[in-house]
Amino acid sequence: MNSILLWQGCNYRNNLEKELKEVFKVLEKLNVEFETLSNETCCGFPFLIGGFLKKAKETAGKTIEKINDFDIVLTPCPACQRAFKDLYSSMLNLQVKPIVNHLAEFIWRILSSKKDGFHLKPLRMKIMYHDPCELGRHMNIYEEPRKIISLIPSLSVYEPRFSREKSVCCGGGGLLFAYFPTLSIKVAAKKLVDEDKIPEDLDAIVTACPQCILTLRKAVELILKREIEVMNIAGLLARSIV
Amino acid sequence: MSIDNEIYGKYLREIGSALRNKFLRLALSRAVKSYRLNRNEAFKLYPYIKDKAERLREIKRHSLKTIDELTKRTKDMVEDLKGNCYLAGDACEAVKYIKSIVKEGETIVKSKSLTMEELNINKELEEMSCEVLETDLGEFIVQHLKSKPMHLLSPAIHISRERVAELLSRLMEKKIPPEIPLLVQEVRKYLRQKFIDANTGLTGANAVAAETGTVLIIENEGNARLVSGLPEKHIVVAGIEKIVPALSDAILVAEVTSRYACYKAPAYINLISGPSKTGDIEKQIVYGVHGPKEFHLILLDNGRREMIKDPVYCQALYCLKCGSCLYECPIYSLISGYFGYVYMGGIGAILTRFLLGGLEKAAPIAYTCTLCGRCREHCPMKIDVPKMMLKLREEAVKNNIAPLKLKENLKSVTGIEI
Ligand code: SF4
Repeated sequence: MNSILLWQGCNYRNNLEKELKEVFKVLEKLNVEFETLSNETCCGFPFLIGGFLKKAKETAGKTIEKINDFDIVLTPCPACQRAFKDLYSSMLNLQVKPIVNHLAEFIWRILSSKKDGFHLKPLRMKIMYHDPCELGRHMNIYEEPRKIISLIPSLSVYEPRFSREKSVCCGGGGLLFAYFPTLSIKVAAKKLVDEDKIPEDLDAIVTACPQCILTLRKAVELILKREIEVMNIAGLLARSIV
Repeated sequence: MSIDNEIYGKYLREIGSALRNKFLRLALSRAVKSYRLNRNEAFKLYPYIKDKAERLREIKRHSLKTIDELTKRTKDMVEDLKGNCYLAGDACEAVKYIKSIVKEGETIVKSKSLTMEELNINKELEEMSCEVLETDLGEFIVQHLKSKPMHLLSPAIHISRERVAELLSRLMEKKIPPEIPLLVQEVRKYLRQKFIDANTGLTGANAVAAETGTVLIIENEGNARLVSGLPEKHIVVAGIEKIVPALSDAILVAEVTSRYACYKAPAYINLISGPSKTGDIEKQIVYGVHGPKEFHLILLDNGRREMIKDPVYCQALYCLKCGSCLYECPIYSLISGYFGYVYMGGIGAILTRFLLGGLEKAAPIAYTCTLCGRCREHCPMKIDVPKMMLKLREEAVKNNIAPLKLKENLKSVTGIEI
């Protein structure tokens, strides 16, 4: 059997504990045996894209030691995924041995391989899926999250006018949220209102990146002042899967 | 003041106030909306434009590779046509050359050119007691309001008609109502005589065709034709990256640039090869007929060769200045040219680093980019701005000017000290 590591990522560990529990729940419901690391630290992504390459190399080296014994590394964070799959090698010339998957890819593989092994209960809500830049434009993953969403009965899905490779950034990327949060949040609000033109009856924004969750959530709370949930795709699935 | 504050402080404060500017937001959202409408129409009419853009990208790539040869060919051809061609290593050399042609106290008309901004030429010529006039309507407004151009193609994108009316009323010493067609008429009247009086016309170029020594200028207002046609002397300042091998390539530049700038067809595409001439009397060629007598093409390096040598940054020189990326940038569409220095937006950060401002002006732009990559999707030249941003950030760190606040915040997020 393949050994599977769930790499959680800083944002989930520090800021999204509830969402992380939902990830655990979904994986357990799908009978996935996985491990987590008690000594998980930053993968180095912020250093990579912040220009701090020395620090990034140090952090990446330590990370690779920790993850290299596994066959599959699974992560709900597309930034960690991109670091492992692309940036480590293209920017640091370091290689990662295990197969690296984003949670959405992984879940979709399982769901599509055992169609009858699980039951999804209907969710009567209207959602919009937001393509995270890291997952979409940078890793080219657009389909899997949509396919997962499409399995859930009764769900109504609003597709914004700009999506997939034309999707509008949440404003939290590129460390902007860490550097100039006010600007990030305004970008997020403008995206939801002017670009996505989210409908009045939208219940939730579903996405697949912790940074998008945090940024969009802040905009919804502080600027839109509306009762729209912002959740991870695993969170949505957690509600439906029995 | 700390270095950090000097580099980032003012920039961030300006963004902060731009974020609070309701009018700017309104003006920008109107501009973005009409841009998208026009673009969709233009793309529908010319569905093959994407293929043309791809072809042009190849031509640009190849041109930069053979830049020395192309520069030489251009110079030879321009001189053969009895024009002058000067290869300027940097902005100083270009300024010196222009000052050697312009005389004290001349009237000088200009049409819009970002490249010319690298020379800070207005100030230089004003020191020679010259009257320097921007003739592009947006630039004219911005110049007289002592504001800063906020868009590649629509520099006055951030200014309302009421403010323009106020400005013109002051300038013409009469009350002018804030009706846009009227405002345009007034500027036309005001500038008409200036065109006639002007001794020298200054323009940029959208492309230069080496084979025929031809300069191509795209415009809508008709000012560039007057600037390049009426005065005795016409001086063109073009970055060396504007050179393409043949006239047909230059036409391709015009097509792709205008489509992505959302014009179905620009009102004018000017093609100029050397000074005006006639051989009508006894077949003896005389230079300077109705058009300029002197034609000067300044091919400007000013950091471009250094860019060409760099495998990552080099593609920034494919940029056509079409502006397509700006409207689709999440940051620019919120705060306009405050996201930038003189060169704006993501691509502007790279041009700033090499051509005007240096790393210290480029770093704040690089650190306020979300690296989302949406610009790349909309760029006809598929320029990979996020990739270059990463390199700029790397350079900022190496030069010890990465923002302190970011370092602190990253420490609290990751628990790791940088
Ligand atoms: S980077 Fe591309 S889209 Fe932006 S102005 Fe240049 S050519 Fe146009």
